[in-house]
Amino acid sequence: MLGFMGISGFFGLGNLQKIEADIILPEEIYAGVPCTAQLLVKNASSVTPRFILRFIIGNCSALLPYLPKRDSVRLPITLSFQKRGATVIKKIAVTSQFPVNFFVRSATVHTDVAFTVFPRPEPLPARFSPPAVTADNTGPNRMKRGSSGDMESVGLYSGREPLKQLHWKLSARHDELFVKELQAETGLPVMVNPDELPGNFEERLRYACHQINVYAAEGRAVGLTVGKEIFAPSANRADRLLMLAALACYDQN
Amino acid sequence: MIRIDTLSHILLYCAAIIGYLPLAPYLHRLPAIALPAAILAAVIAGSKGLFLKERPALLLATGLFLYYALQFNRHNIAIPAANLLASLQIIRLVGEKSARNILQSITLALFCLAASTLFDLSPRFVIYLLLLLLIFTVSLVLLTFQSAAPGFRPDRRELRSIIAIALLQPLTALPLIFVLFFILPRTQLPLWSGISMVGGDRPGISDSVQPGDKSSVSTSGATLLRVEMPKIGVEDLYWRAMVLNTPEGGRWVRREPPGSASVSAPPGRAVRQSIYLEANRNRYLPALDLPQSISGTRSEPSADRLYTPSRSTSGRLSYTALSRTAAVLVEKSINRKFYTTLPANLPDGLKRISAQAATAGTDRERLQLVEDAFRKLGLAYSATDLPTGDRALEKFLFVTRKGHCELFATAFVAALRGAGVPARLVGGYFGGDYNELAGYYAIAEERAHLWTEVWLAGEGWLRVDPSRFARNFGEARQQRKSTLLHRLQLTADTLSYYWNRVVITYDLESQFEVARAAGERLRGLRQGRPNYGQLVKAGAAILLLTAGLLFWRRTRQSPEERLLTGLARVLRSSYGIDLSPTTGLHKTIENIDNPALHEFVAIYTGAVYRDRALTAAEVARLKSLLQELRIRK
Repeated sequence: MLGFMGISGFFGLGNLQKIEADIILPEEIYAGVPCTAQLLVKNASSVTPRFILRFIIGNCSALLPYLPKRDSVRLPITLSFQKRGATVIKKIAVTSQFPVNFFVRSATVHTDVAFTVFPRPEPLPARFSPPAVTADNTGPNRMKRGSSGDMESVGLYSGREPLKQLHWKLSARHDELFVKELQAETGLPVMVNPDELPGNFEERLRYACHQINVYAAEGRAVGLTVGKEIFAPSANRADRLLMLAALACYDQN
Repeated sequence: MIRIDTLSHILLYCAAIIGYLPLAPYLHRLPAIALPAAILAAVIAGSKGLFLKERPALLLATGLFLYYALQFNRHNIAIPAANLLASLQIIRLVGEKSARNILQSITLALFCLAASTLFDLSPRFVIYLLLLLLIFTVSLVLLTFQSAAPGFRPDRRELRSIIAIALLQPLTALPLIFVLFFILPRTQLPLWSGISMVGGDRPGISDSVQPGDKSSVSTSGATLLRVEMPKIGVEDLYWRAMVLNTPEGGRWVRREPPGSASVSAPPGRAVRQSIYLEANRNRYLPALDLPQSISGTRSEPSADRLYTPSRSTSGRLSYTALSRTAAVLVEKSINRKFYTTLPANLPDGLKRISAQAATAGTDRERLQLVEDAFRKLGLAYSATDLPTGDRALEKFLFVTRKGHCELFATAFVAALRGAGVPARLVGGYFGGDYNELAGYYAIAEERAHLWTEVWLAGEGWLRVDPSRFARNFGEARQQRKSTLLHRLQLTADTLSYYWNRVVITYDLESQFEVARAAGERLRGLRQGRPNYGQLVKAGAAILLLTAGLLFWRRTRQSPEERLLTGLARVLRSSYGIDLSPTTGLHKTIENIDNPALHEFVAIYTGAVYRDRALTAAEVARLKSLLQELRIRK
């Protein structure tokens, strides 16, 4: 029995060898909001599978009961970061109770994953009137017809509509010509400035973050003034993420 | 998908049975019956989710503990302990099957097995232990899964891997177990039996003989002595273990013999024996008659060639003896009075034989006359219906005329002493079953025998076996016939022999001996006297092993590599296409109209190109496709 207990230690250590792990994070991570990341785990051993691996990042963990030899899996892990700003995950702890549940052995997989945690989006409390920070805050005008918005309905071609609005597929099946009736451009560009929002500093950032996301969801171009930095209004997702990153890193000290 | 908890339950029941079997003969009736019943109940009720709740289980366990604790005393330790273990096992078996409880139950099974060694150290223990260790290690791993990954339902392949790695652990531990075996202390005898046998009914030669004290003799077939030596004639198989020289009331006892003696040399063939003696009540070390020296354990020889171990031991012993089968114990002069003292209440008929013999001129002639008189009596050898009581000798010699060796020898010695010839009783064993397989004699308790030694001036102590005067001695004490059962018994005894030889008699002394030998070898190396031949051999072996390992690693191919090699062969032989490392498989076969080939490539690339190992099902399918492609060509 003593011999077996001795050897089980070596098996436990061996179970944590040759494990490679990487993290694939979602594009948007907000402080205090759980997000699901993917752990890309690989067993580089060509001899034995790996058993009961628990991957720990901060206070979050995910369990992988079995990983065949020379195989890799994607393991979902729910992460939560409390502080906004630039963050780096430098290591992933791997622990295992294998082979016997008397001891928990651990190893560290080194990574260098840098990312930004955006402020937690928080709606402006109802007691505050909507901020007068926009050039035009009339909101989206969904009922107006336009020529560049989303398709709203299909109508008969009257001869006045531009040719690019013709619904060729539908027209081909019928004897008449049909046109796509498009919505007007959704609302006018809007600028968000956290310094002009109510609440303390962190609250203002959270409100600003929420507003940016709400306007973007409405399809409106949104811009940001944060300190001396100004982001021109844009409906582009990449620009929105840049704005959120700017909010995340704004005056972190 | 397989439920891990189901599997660990099955292993638990197996462990409980294995722990129970060796302990069952020593349990009280209630736990002996209740434990298998609890296993059955656990199987039936467990499948329906019924079990004894923790609180009543705890109360019951406490009650049983108190009950058995009250039975503990200085003379009764092992039996209450064994029963308590069995009872706790019963409670655990009918209780809830949590991972913790299952582990406790398997540990209890191990304790039950360990408790059985308090009573018996048979080689069966190893088989039970190995089985239990295997179950224990596999269960430990399964229980770890059960508690650390409760939702995990492995498929067959995963389960196979888990069990394989669990079994690999005890196998890998074997070298360490082997090392620990040589280091850790051990016992040579069943602890409880060893303690309880002191003064109790133990096998072996008794240190006194009283003719007429029993109506039958022992027929125990238990092996008492195993002697590794070449096979010799049955006439020489007298094993000397005791000398009784003084009558005391109706008994014959041993007093320290006066004088000193030496073994005549060179007459008699020298026989070297390695002796493995079971725990018994002998005070002396048995050896083939006549022992010249004993080594391997410290002992002191007496004047009548009995060897007393210098440290008292009630356990198994191993030692080496050198004997001369036809030698005579020479003692130039003896205390005649000491060796001619007569026992009381001798029958008149015996006195007449003595008186008749006393008329002869020399001791040799007197001996001859007594021998003749005994032969004329027409005595028969019998192990049953023996005469008992104070007049046992008279009944034996003149009424029933049948008896066993004790009656023959005591009557003969009394007759000789009555005639003035010095004589004494020698106890031990006669004969033995030779185990051709392992080359040793197995001597059972039933082979206990008593013969005599007669001192003749100028010659020494001659061995005379008066039982041979019985008209049926050859039939009564003949060697056992070699029946199938007997052969099987001997084969089974071989296992006991090796168990004793390798494991049980490996004691602290042997451990020191191993350490001393290792130290000496190390000193030899340090002093620059290495055995170069052995070093070269060991080096060559290591090199060969390393080369073999490297070759194996290099030539070993993964299943994917083997399948690709197979595909390359098919493509070359059937289509004249060589696989190129720069051309993809799809591109290579795009112009070939063969669905099997396309399926092969689709499955193969579907896994390998995505950096994923092939599953067992995929490997099987690819192999069958490859087979199909080979046949079609």
